[in-house]
Amino acid sequence: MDNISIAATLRSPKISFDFTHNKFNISGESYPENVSEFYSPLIKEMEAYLSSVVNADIEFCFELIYFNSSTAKILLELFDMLDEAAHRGNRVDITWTYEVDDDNLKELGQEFGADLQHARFSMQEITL
Amino acid sequence: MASLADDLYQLKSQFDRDNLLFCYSGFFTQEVLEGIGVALRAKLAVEQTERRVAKNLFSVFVEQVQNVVRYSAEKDEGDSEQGGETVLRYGILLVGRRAGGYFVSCGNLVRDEDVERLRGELAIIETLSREELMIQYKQALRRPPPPGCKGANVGFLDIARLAGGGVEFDFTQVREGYSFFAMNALM
Repeated sequence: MDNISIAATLRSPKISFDFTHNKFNISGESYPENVSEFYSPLIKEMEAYLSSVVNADIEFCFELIYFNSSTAKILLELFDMLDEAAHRGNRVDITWTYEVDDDNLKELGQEFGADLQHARFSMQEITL
Repeated sequence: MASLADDLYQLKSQFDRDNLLFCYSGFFTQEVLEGIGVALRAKLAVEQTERRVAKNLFSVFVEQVQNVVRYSAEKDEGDSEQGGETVLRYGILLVGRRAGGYFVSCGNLVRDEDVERLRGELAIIETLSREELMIQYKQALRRPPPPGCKGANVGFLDIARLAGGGVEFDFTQVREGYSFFAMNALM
């Protein structure tokens, strides 16, 4: 499985999916013109990877500064997929960062994290 | 007799009296959204707006404009410069100051047959508390999008959640089969 690296644009995040080392990162801003066009290939790759991986230490870091509601739907889908992989015996660590004083991203992190049953979840405040 | 300058100045003065930062009326494209977004952030930075207010305002602006881009019933369809099909959808956007904070108002044409559904959805959203809005928002994020929906269909919930000063909406019939839908969010 080829690693995925996509540079950030004004409206789409930087993507780093390192399948070799089980490390994943989404950072920046996300309100692309067509959310499903941007994320569908990534979700598909993640699905294929997660369905095949066993007994792995998976780290997924969400470092978003801003995302719209269509992106939120994708993020929640990723959370659910990762939780399912943890349920099947992988060790999954999800980190959610939010900018100091960004009550909204902090609250969304708490809400998304609260629904996880199996993955470990931590939040990190950052200063830009 | 009114002059070019008088007419335009009168229009500008009205905008100033309404405490507008700016107004855009016409067709919205992704580039318009992007450009206004950059300008809006620059203005809020210059004014040293509290970052959390600036971020919420930006979020509400994006959700409102994306509603117009996706759903406005007033549109031009034709060839794009690249040779494909393109659709330009019309609406109006106002951003300004009110009651010590900011407001974002957006309006566009909708088909009459959609008015009751929208009114119903928004009337429910108006009654929800912050906690209830978050619950509804999360539920909506997990629901598969209805057919014909180009986004996550959760924009209104997101706007209501982020507009600390509340949201209001209104409809007025403008011509046979079409109504004008207006929404205002206060932060």
